Amino acid sequence: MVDTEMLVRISGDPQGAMEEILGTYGSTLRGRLSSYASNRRLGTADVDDVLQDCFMSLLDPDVREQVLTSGGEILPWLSRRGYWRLEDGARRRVRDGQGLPFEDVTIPSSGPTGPPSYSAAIVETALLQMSPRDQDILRWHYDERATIATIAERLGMNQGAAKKAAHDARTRMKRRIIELGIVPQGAKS
Amino acid sequence: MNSELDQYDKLILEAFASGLVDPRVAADASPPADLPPGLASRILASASTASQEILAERVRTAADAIGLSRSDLVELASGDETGARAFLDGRGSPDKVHPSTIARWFWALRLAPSRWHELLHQAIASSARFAPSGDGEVVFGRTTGLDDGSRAQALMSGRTLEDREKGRRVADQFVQEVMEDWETLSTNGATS
Repeated sequence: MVDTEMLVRISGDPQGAMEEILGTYGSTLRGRLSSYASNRRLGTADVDDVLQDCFMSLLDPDVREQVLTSGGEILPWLSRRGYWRLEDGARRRVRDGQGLPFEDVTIPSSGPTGPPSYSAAIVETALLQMSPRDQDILRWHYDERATIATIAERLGMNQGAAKKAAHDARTRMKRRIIELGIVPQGAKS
Repeated sequence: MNSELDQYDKLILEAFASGLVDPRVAADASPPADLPPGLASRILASASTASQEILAERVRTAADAIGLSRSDLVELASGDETGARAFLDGRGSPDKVHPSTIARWFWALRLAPSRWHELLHQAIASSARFAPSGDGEVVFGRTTGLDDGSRAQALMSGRTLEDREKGRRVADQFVQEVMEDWETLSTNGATS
């Protein structure tokens, strides 16, 4: 059964559809989440909880609509959600004083921009803590230098809405960078 | 453009220019990892009640938005309070509440069918329970080495296709009753 059929099936046969989706993608997603958590040094304690959250999210019709709008492929969508949830969990642990998101970098509470590699690590962490959609928008904008027209086409919206989405994502990114302790020279905090 | 944002733009652009690697790409290429024993069962067990919890949350949120309390909703369920309380607290299935009560809630909360039709159907279909067919036990977790399709089959529960079809019909009937009552309320503009 193709992914869109499995998603549509959930409303009429939620148990059967969830069994099929879990059976089809469970181990693949678990491998991805474990690898991501390990590579990012986030700890693997949350992996199974995040896995459960990912599959359970498909029971919300609004989430299914998002998956269908973004192309209808379940595994990529669940993977992006899972990676974001792992980053979010790590961020909450830092906020709650339970540890740093990565082991061997010290985050200063304030001060000028550090050496490029350090600030790049902060930007990377901030980026990975953004929602999957914001991450995509920011990569398109900063890495690919995509135009608003291209971003609009990829998001399936008009250019005005895409411009706002890009602006909002950049604002959230800026806020996250500030929270992580970086204030670029010449910028107000 | 705001000059403050320019400084952050410069910082982010420099970070990308230094070679930010997207860790999601490497993770996507990772090999599968079998689910530990019991995890699939736990996920599916949670799934059996998740739909009613999502629906209850949607009702509570809509009530908050227009200033209705849980007590107000229970009052609207006159004669049906026990099932109403259980459902609103996320402990009970909506099919334990009379369709006319649910229709009254949706109408009072100004929830269009697009916001509840599919979810209600899903919650009823999840909660419909039928006697096991006696085809044998379900074994979760023994999927090591199976390809994706075989793994899916190995995880299928003991509920037969017939049971699921019965659940769908029960859900169809219930949702239809709710829809008819909701349409009557919408047409007549009833207040109670």
